[in-house]
Amino acid sequence: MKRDWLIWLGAAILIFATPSFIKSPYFFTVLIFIAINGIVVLGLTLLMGFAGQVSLGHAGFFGLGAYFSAILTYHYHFDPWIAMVLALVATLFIASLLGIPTLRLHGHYLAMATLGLGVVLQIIFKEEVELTGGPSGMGGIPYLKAFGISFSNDYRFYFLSWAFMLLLLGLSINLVHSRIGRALRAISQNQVAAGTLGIPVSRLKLLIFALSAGYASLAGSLYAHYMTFVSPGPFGFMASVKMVAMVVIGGSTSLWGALLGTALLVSLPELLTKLQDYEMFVYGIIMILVMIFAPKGLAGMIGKVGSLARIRLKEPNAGTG
Amino acid sequence: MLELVEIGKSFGGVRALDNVSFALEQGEILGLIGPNGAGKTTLFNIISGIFPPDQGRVRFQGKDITRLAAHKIARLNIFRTFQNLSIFDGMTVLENLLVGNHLVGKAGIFSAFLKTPWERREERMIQRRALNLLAEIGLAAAANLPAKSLAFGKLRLLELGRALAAGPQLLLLDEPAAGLNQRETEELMAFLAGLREKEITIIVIEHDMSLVMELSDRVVVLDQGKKIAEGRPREVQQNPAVLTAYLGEDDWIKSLRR
Amino acid sequence: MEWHNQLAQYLVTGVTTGAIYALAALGFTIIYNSTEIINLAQGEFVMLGGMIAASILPLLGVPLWMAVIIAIAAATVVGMIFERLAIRPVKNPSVLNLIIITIGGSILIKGVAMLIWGKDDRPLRAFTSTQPIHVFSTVITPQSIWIMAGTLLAVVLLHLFYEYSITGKALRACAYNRKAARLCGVSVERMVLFSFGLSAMLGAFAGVLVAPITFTSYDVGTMLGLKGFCAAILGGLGSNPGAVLGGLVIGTLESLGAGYLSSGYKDAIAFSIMLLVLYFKPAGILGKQMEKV
Repeated sequence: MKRDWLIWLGAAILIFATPSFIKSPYFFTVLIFIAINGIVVLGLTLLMGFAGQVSLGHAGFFGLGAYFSAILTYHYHFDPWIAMVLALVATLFIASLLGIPTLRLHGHYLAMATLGLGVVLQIIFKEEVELTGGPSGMGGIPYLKAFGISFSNDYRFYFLSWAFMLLLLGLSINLVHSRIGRALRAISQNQVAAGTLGIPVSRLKLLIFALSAGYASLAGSLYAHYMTFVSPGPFGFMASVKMVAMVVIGGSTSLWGALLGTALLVSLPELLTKLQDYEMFVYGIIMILVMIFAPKGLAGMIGKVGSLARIRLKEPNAGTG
Repeated sequence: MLELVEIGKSFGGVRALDNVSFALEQGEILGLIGPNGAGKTTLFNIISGIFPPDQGRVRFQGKDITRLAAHKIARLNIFRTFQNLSIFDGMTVLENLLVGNHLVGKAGIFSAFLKTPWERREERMIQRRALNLLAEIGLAAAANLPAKSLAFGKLRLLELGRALAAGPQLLLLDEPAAGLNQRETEELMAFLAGLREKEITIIVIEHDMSLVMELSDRVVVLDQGKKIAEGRPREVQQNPAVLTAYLGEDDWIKSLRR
Repeated sequence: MEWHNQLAQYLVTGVTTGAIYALAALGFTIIYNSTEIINLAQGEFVMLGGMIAASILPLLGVPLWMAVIIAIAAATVVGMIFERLAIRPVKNPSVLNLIIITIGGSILIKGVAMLIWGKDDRPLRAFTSTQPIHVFSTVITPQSIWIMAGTLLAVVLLHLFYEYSITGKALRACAYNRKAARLCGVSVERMVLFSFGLSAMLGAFAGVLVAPITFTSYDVGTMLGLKGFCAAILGGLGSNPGAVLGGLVIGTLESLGAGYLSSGYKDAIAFSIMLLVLYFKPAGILGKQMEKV
């Protein structure tokens, strides 16, 4: 666990130091998107890698966070932080509602249910024009403010979004290295055996599913207050698929994989704007290749290559915590 | 301590268990034997809560546990091993035992997130317990190795250790000696005899007759889902019905010659 | 008199779309039965059928029926290649991994389609005329009749195939018990390959049938496939008659819902139905009772 915290520290230093020598606004924009998407992908990694479940509708939860925040702050003038918390609670509730019946069944039932929910949510976003502005979206979302600072530009939002990301990463590191984290891993490897050792399988699966939806909701709220504008477009099936791709490519069994996968898949289209037409093709083929040849993704490959860079979280820690 | 009353279970058209009843006192070692397909593992699955019986009741220390889910049964300190190894093969040897200690801890998700002091204390305690147990079963050197790198015999030992980790009152062992060589089997027997000292009640499913006869206080014989005999090992061995059921099975014939 | 006609009209549309969903759903069921895989790339086979036919027609100048056959054959081959290259090599075929691979396959096929054919809609000529036929006061296009008849034919042929042919029986054997089937000499690997081919064939058939009505483009597959999936769940994953039933029910309810309730929420109907099914009866209408995990 110490290893993970060291990496965390390294990442934190890197993140906070970089703006001193990189001034390109483009850089900040991309990094902000990496942070926001990364939070969703982090939650999804906990679900997929540590609990062994797939969600094909996480963009829906992302959208719930975004729209709840947008609607509460714009139409009802809530304080953005309160709106964010309310959005989180609402999303946790909806996720639980979905999870309770489906998590008792075989794995693919949750995949199907989340798929269905994601599609329905996006349609609701499109149709409820009065609340959401419909397909053209809604703007005028206020900025987030704290300690007298308004996070109204990329430079400031960069720090805010990465503060969130690092916080959630820290919490996730703690979770993984805890009794509950171990129980989750046990569930993903042999859920019958896990049950016989006293692990409440269905309850934990529900917990982690709701949690992962919560991460997505927080990211969605951040997104809304960053763009100050939301539209249904980014919250559909394809977006959910991309999120799954980020988990897979980064490596589902490692929290760092979430960051790697997100960083790669967010920056790639930016770097290769000419090749945007190839985006789907590339996503598809990488996903297939990774599943066949490198099921642990980038993080797994890096873990194999260097004993120095042993960032797989399954590394044992026989010492005291 | 444990009471099975008229247990019945069908899968599709197959009657896997039919009217099976027996009882177990605390501290006893019961051998559960019978030809393949007799329903022994099914019985274990029912007791450990993996699925409920169609008929009958299971009582533990007076309480009806028939329909309890697996994790609730574990909370009553009933643990088991599996016929097909159910080691967590993505984890290390030590981690398997740490998971075995799951019920020893209580910290929930918030404490986990925030790494509260008492979560840390609990974690240290769990680590200590697991390391001690590892030493007891002789696998201390392998603590940080991936579980799947162990030899088969050691894996069986690990699974046994994992079932012991949280301190069982009742232990269900499903063919613990399967695949072990002579020496390993003898070590296992010694280890199990040691468990009896600790007042742990055990039910053992086994095909190795010498182990069953040596270790068991009593034996229950199943054949095609029905109980066909029950009693002290020597009695059961002479029982003609049992002989008929096993006709053709080498272990049985061999054990009779002893 | 008015509401009669309107209802009948909605029903006609409903059964027509339902037939297409039924074919797509059958594709899911066939693969699920022999492999327990949920093939999320199914919709893309539907897309390929229509797209290949639509592009070959002007390209090679062949008669329509030939373009249709070539399209279906090509899609079938793609299906089999997909199984061979993407499904077979997977070392750890867990539910998670296979879902991801089929998703990967689906966006791969879609991506390739976009590169080859661009983003434009493509028309496919109707099989016969486009003159609507008036039955009582309802209007039916000949293509709708082709769709309904074609689906019926496919379902009947499929049933005969499963009941009376050796391969069909082998497929059913795999669905019941793979080990036993293998012991009887059935090559499970070949059956899996065959299932993918057969599903692709059905999907592509649906694609060419519906292309004249809806136009086709590189991304029609996704929604169609997903709705076919909802139909398969409704009918009961693993049940062929269930898939057909599910397709027809969803098509009809969609049409009625769009007509009487709200056309904006039309697409949500299929998925809401699926969510309700998963909530109350996950096994679907005709499916086997699911063992709780």
